[in-house]
Amino acid sequence: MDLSILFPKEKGIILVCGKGGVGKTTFSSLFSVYSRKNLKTLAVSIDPAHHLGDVLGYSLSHQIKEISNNLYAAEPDMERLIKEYIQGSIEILKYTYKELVAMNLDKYLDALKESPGIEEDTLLDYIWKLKKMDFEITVVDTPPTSITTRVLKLPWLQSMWVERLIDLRGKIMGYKETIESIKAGKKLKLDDPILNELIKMSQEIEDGKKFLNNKEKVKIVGVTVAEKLPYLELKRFRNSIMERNISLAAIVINRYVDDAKNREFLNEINSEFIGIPKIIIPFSSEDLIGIYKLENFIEKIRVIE
Amino acid sequence: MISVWIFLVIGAVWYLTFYFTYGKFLQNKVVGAEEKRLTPAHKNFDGIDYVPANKYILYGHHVGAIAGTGPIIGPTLAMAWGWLPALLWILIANAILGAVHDYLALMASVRYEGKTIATVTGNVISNRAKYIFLWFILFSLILIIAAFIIFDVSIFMLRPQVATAILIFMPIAIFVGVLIYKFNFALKYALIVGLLLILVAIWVGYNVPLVITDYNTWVTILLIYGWLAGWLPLWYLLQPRDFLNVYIMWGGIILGAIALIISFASFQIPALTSYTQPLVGYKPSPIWPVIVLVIACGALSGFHSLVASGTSARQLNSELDALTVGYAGMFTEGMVALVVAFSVASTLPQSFQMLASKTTFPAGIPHTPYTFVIANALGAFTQGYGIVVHNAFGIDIIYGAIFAGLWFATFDFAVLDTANRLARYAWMEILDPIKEKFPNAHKILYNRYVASIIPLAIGGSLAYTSTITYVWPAFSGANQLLAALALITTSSWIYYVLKKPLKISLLAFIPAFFLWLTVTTALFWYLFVVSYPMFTTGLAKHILTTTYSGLLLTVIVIFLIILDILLIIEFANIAIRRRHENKAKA
Amino acid sequence: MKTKQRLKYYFKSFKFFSSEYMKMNAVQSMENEYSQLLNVFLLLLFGNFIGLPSPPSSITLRILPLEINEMKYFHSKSARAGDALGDLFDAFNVEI
Repeated sequence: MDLSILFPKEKGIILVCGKGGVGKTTFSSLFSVYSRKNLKTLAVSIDPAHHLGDVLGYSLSHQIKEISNNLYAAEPDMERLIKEYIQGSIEILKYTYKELVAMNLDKYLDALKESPGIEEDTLLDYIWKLKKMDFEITVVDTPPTSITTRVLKLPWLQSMWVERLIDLRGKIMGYKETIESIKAGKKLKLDDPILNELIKMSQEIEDGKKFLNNKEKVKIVGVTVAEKLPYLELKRFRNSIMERNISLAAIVINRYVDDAKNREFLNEINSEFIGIPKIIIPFSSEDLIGIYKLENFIEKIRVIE
Repeated sequence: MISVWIFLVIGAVWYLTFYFTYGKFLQNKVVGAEEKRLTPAHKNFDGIDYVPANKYILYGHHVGAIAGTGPIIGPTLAMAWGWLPALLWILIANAILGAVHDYLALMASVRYEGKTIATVTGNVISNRAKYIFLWFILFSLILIIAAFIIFDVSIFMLRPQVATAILIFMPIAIFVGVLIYKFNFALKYALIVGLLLILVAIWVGYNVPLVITDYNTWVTILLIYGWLAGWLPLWYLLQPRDFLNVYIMWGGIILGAIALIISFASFQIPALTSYTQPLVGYKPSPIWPVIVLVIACGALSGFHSLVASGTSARQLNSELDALTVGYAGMFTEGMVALVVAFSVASTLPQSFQMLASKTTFPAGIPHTPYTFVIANALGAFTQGYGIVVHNAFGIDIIYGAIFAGLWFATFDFAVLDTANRLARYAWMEILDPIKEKFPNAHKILYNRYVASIIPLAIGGSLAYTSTITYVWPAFSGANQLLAALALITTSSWIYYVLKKPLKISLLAFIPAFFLWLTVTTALFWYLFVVSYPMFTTGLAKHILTTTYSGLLLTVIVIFLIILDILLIIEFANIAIRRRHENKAKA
Repeated sequence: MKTKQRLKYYFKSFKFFSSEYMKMNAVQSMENEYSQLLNVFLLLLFGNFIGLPSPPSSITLRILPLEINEMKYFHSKSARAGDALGDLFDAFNVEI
């Protein structure tokens, strides 16, 4: 077994998750360098504490750029992402709310940026954007697990809300239709743009859920080290996303040293996460910086059942 | 024998005269209504709540919202005094108090952007006054639940045919609802279908009466209905039922009026029996002040101020329309009250003879038509209506009686299921002030089930233990207190906010305080002559029901009186403070 | 001639008003329920601005531009928030 078990059949996304500091960025970089030999690869970091550029040895920006043959990378800026995300709505608002908020629109924009949950919405939206790009594999260095968990479960939260809203709106439109029909003296069929939009949204959310549940398209990799806290967090993460039928594709054990403690740790992982491939990255005394060093290190990685 | 139709004409002429003289004066000099001042329907137009409506449609809506069952009980009971006191009160009190009250409440609300009268009270007098307002509403609702349960039970026990008819009426309403809302039947055809089915219901009721002889069983059934109906979705039953109810009411009124006229009905009771005829609680009841505890709707009703400050205020197209909607609307109800009163007045001895044997008179009360009309008010009305219709059209008395019973009962039901919801709301509003000081108590009391059960429990307990002659006057008193508060509010509005000269404002103040004085006196009278003695009698004779209801009514009336006095103190404070402010400015 | 025209006019107006009146009776409570439900819907969407938990921004932002007209209604209804007695008495036809 080798790292190619994470390759998708056609196009796919790898989400590299785990507690801060366990080596997500390291693994993301290693894997991207590995995959670029076979697939057109994009490596992005949506962790606000970007290290991706540092590890890859390139200065990355908000825009995607080609840093090596078949390898592209970016470090999107959260503030800009949020702005882009709500920009579309703001444009429409500017156009339709002309008379109401010509002066107050900027204040409104600022308030929206701070609204709770906007980060998760933006990140999920970004993942959908990545899905549409034409890279064969996209490796995503994710934010700390709390945020990532919320992002992954967001479609279910969204669909709960949308269903509720569709239900209520349907009732409202039912009343309106009945009332207008009586007033008009004949049966009317009313078209409600809001209900239509909600139904469209519901469909998109369902597609999103299917995408996240599709083990071919989305592979979640959990990274940990042989320590209690990161391991517990990984377990919690796994249990949490399992509620939504999202499962781990692989577990990465970083900075592995062949001693008693690590071996015991490996046993425990094997018994807790049965059937999930383990990727063991040995400890390296020197800093893994730059594509050359990363490439040379790859052969030391072991992959076991 | 004096013919009744003369007085119907006199009533109509009286009201028309008042409309064109006093009404116009109110409109132009007191309120200063102007076409060019935009009403909230235009200023705050939002396409849903604030929409200008044609004044005749709004008038029809307003009348439909204030008339229904109200003008039936009061005028009937008042016949114990003879036909003249009620007639005078319905004509005079309506013109000087009732219609004025409705009109001013409507205009005040219009000038306050369609806010309810309670908010206007909070603005013009004080916030405490606003809470007093809510308390009056809550008590009125609790008492109306009790009163209307008792009414329904009495009509169902007296005329089991009506019980069947109502039972069948429910599915008919649902059926008509399905026709209109699901199948888009043209309204007029659905209405005809509904009315025909109602006739069938009456016929079936006549043949298959639903006889339940136990009073308490009926009360329980109705309480359960009141509780359940509070959670029913609207369009299945309530909306189509309300739709049909409107036409039952108009049909009943027009039929009754025509029958009275063409049968040349004449008064069969004296103009005045006695100034202190036994009426409320069978105690000698002086016409003044007790008449306010007997006749509410038809002369003056506090609930109208809330109706006026609802849709009517928000959909008023022009300030000048208010006279038609509010003022003439109340006059229309006055005419309805007259039709009811005259139906009873022209048939009482006859109905007494027919129904005395079926009436339960309390122990020690002589059996006369004037005690009959109290012990069996609904019998007197329905039978009277049946007789009048029979005299005019030759239809069997029982059919007219069942129809009148159905008319009454269906509106009664409508009030039952909604009074509970409203009481729930008023209760929750009232609890606001204690939220900060007693958060735990607030949490328990605010719970929607608690809020729903308490009014039903209190009202229901009264229904089990008391009768119309005790409960209705208590309700009427609370209702008139509402009206007094609304009138004090609107006259304060005229003087302090509109800044009209004192001479003109007095035209509003004087009736307001006259009413306040009358109601307060009546409540004290009720307390010392009716409810407290009832309590002590019950104690002495060890009758639980009498003791309980006497006690409960006493407590409620004491509460109302306290609030009443607080109200006048509140007003006096504000008046003094405003006086000082004005002096300081000058 | 004139009287006949007059009568025809009155008759027509009466027909018109009674059919409008009938329509109003058939939908009044329902309209009230409709407006209350609409208010709930708008509260769910935009209650965020007054501190209510609300749907994820992805939903509200997309719907917001479509809601311009109903927002006006929301403003007007919110202004009357503590004052629903009139509405309730209307909805429930308490005819006393």
